[in-house]
Amino acid sequence: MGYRILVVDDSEIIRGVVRKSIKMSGLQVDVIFEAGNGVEALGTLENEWIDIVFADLNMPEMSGMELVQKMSEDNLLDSIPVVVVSSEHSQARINELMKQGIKAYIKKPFRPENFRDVVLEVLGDLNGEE
Amino acid sequence: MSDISEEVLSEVTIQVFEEAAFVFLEKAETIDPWEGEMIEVVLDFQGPDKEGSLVLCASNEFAIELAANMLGMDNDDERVLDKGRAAIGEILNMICGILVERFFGSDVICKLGLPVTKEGDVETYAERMKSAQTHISFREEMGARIDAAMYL
Repeated sequence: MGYRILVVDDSEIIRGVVRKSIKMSGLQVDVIFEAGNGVEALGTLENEWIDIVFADLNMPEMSGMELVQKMSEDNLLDSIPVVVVSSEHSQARINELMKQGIKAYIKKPFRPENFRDVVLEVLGDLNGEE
Repeated sequence: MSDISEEVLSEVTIQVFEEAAFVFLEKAETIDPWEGEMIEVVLDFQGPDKEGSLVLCASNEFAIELAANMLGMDNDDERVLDKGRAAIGEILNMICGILVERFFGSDVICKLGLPVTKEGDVETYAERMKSAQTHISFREEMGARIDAAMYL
């Protein structure tokens, strides 16, 4: 059994690159779902068990931070960690997002090990090694 | 705000192409007139005391190769044939994210726009480049040309 991951980004190419990076990271992954914005992500979260969400910030219909807000208002979703994956490098911005409830932040361009490190830090190792 | 130098734009562009797509660029010694079809993608940014835009320009053929590299697929895979413009836009977005932090510092929050593709027109491109603060031409290993330009 592996992690169940949701990747939320309006760019199909970035979803593909994130998917490739997670597969290359060495993480034990069960399934990777994809959504093109926050609304689609909520639909997936309502129907599937998800361990962790990787979300972009700027997306049409519902942004990454609106998604975090909606999840925090839902008793079933508020414990699912959200990690923002973005091109913004400002530490001030990252600090602001952490205050709003995201669990971690990955800067683009990223490497596969960035995903492994964040998942192990946020969720712990499936084999029980912290 | 720091100066936006040709050296910094060059360094960041080379870094992002390498890290995100395993594409290795070298700065060209001269900027020749563009020949053939082109994809030009523009991204606006806004800092506390200045705003501007960053431009990347490449051929459609190279853009498809870029998308294939980013996704780990073959150039002739039909799934990448329509993703060239998006790939250029994503690379531009990453370059801009690093540059604005370098220029405005890490303690401020800047606004990044969305990448917008302009229809490539060699003559208007050449005319517009005259007003760029910085304009650099690169070549990748197989000889494809990529231009980066900054407007303030």
